[in-house]
Amino acid sequence: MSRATLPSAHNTETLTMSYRSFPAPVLADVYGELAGYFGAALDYDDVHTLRLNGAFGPLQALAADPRYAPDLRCALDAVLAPVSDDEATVLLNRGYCQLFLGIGGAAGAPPFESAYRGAGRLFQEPVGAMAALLAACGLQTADGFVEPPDHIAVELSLLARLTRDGAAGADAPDAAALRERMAEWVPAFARGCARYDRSLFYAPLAAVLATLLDDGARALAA
Amino acid sequence: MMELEKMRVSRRRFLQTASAAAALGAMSGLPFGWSAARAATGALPDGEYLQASHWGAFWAKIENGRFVSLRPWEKDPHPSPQLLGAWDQVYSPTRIRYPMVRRAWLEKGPGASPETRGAGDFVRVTWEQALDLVAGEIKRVQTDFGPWSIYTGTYGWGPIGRVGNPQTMLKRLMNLTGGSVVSSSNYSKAGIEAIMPYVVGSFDAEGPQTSHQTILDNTDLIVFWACDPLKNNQISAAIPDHGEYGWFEAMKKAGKAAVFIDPVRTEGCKILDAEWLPVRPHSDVALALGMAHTLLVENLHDEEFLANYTTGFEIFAQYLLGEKDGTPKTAEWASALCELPAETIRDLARRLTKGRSMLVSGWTPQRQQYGEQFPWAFVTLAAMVGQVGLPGGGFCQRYHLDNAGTPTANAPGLAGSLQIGKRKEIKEWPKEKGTTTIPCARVVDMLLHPGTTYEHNGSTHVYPDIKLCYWAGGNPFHHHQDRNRMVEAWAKIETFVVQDLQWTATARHADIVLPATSSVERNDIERVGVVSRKAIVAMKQLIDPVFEARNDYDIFVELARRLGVEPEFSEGKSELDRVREVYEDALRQATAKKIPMPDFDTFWNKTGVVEFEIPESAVRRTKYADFREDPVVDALPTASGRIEIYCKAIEKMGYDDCPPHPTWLEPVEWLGQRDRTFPLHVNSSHPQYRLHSQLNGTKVRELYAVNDREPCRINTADAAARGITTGDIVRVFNGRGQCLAGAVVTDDIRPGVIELQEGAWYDPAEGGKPGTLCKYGDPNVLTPDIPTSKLGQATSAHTCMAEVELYKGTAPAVTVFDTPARA
Repeated sequence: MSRATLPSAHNTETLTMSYRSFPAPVLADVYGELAGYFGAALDYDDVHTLRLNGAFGPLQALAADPRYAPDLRCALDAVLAPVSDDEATVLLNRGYCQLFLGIGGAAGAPPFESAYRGAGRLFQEPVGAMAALLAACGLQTADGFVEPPDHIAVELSLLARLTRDGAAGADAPDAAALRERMAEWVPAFARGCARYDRSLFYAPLAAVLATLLDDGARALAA
Repeated sequence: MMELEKMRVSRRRFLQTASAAAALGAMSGLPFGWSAARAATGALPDGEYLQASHWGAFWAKIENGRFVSLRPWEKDPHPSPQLLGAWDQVYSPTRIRYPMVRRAWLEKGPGASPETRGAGDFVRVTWEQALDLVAGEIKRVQTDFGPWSIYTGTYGWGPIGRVGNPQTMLKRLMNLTGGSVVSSSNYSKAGIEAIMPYVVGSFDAEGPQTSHQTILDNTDLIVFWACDPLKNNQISAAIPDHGEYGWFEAMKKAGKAAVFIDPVRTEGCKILDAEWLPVRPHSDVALALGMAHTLLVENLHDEEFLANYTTGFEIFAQYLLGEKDGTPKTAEWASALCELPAETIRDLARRLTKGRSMLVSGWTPQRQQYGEQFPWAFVTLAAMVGQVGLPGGGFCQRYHLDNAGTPTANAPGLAGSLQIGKRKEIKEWPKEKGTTTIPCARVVDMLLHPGTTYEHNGSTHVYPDIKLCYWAGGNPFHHHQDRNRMVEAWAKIETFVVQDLQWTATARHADIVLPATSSVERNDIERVGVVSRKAIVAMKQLIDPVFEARNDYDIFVELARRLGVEPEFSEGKSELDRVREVYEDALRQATAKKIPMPDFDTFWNKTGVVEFEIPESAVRRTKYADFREDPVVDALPTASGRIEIYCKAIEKMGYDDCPPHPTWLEPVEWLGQRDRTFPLHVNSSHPQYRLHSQLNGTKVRELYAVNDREPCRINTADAAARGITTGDIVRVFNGRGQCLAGAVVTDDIRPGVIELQEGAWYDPAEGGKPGTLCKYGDPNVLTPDIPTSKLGQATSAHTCMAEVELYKGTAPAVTVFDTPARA
């Protein structure tokens, strides 16, 4: 799919889809791609590829739904608007660092579940809970990824895996439970992004994720 | 249809199977590589472990590799509420997580766009990159300029522990690579440290003082002069023993008569139900002179003591009587300056001589312009009373820190492992390139005026031209005065490296930021009680380093490797080797003195603590008793061997701001000045719930913050005149700066004075912009950056006037602390 084949704003309005409309593998890939954006700042090659494609990867599947389309369009515009790949890389990097790496103080959105429960400290109960969930799946955080297991990229990666694989046994963690868990704190994370994101890239992606989790939770309740 | 480029982002992997760590990790596609800190797992099995902090010893509860809670060590008689911060700071959102570099510096090199310092535009880099950049800068500046262009005067309390002091490590590294400019003294008591060696032959305000029990046994009247032992003793450079509360309880039980001379009614004053003399700030010298004059004219001074143990009293007496300047320093004269009734001044002077009296001072009156004068006047007053060296009499300048009146246990010393060593003279250091050591409080002067001369303690020096500044374990953007002048000066540095565990205002102004571990993430050793020496605690690493934090020692070893001096720097020793070395040195001393101590492995792996007995003979102690007993054999190490009330060495210096005997000099700013543009005196004393700026970024702040701001105490009358009530957000301002604060209206502070405690984190509305509003309440946006005098060149933080007004409109949010719950 080239940039020219993207659904237009006009035709997306007619394509509202429910959470259940997305096959599990597609959803899993969407979670995986979002994990990629929130897990580390994009480097030049990442940005170059995004600009060359003019589209997201699996995430682009949501662009047909008007609940997601404006945010995805906004995020993509933030990547495409700069005059060069270099400039885009700097703008996105600046946004990532200020939002997620702690240098902005309150003018940021810590990408950790612990930060949104209790008093806002890091390494709290969610770290233990997520470590237990990972262990139950025979997983651990990847070497070189020094974040605690309640980092949004880890939770999304596990959600992707659970969504793709389905329940592997009676004691295996449930994708729906993890999705619900994330739905409890990701909206606050997304509000933080909306308030402080200077890149105009991460806030819409966080909004997409919050909507997706909420949609999934409602679909589950229906 | 074109085929899409493969999305690398989608291939990023944040998880791997637990059984195939290495193989899958290599395919993770992450931009950051294997972390050595992460590889070295130091987490302990679940359980409780004894650990230590500047706020006390504690049991840390570890669960699944996390530090989940703490409780005070059961042998701490009065745990501080600040102890909570020892846990909270480990997981504070303000932790520095990764090596970061200011974007403009990274892209354009040293000195690029200094105006963006403090604006928060950092790029994450790998440890390899960061270490290469720092080592490269050290090499560049050493080669292109010289050691006189590198400033490592890094100052601050930093982490606790005998091994992990990063400032020692930094200076050691720099000495091995050609040297650097360092600093002398400190921001706490540089005035005392400058003047006391001339007066009594030593700093005096350190080490064991007359013991608490001796006070209880002998003292009829104790006078606390700008001294608050129950506040500052909560902290210590070692592990505080918190014994001072017991002393106050005992004094209360004994009905000990006490007077507190202070613009603030302190907790100690309330506990003892003591007399409060709310002196006008900055007039302490005048008050002391007024009392001295009373003693002289009423013939209450101890002529025999003055004749046998002091020099120069006769010249000072002429000054008291106004024989040269025509102004007798009467109680009435003092009253007009200090706003205490003349009869109160006379009465207090008389009471000092009616029974055994102890004069106790804090350090506030010497942290102000002409700050050398008060300690000198204070000791002179005590000398006139004539009880120096008698049990329970005389003077003390350190009851407020390290519980210095406690008995000392029969324990070995606990020396540091690393030494800074001597400078390797790779380049000759020509005199015209500037001094090797500046007084620490003159750092901004140095940056603003390279090549100019300044006076210090009888000598003339040249300020060097600094290109590279490296700070480790300190926060000058809290402790230095006149923040806006400082921001301007910092723009002149080409490279600023900060190594710390939290995003302090200093770290936010850096070019390269290196994340260091906290005490629970590394191994160290420390003792309980600088003076009491009650115990030695094994500070074992309890958890893995958080994020990419590394131990200071490991950071410097890596830098030393890049600079080609690793073997000399580390001597082949690990951090734990050095802990063992410190302990075994103490063990050797103990063995020689027949003090029981287990071997290191037993201490480290089993007991975790060694406690020491306090002999009965240590309970009573009188400072200067030997001198009193025999002033010839045990003469003081002054020029005359006596207390010098008139000092010829200072006379020879000819300083107009430090005359040769205690003298009243009107400061540039104080309540007695004619100009009333800024009518309130700013008292920026040590904080109640922090160690300077440490813990301001933790939950402990909830104990005192007002409307999310630093509290500003203001007298009821001053508040009413401005329409201010408790809880209001106020703007405090003067000609140097402005900050917001949360008002606390109280009669525990005298009219005309506000209290805004130092250590509040600088939170500029516009980072890097001089004059900008500090949103949280840093008092050092208001204080002047002027020296005490040419003698001490110490800080004058307490020479400060300002105005307060109710802040109208919507106050900008505090952003220096991470409070994501509001997102």
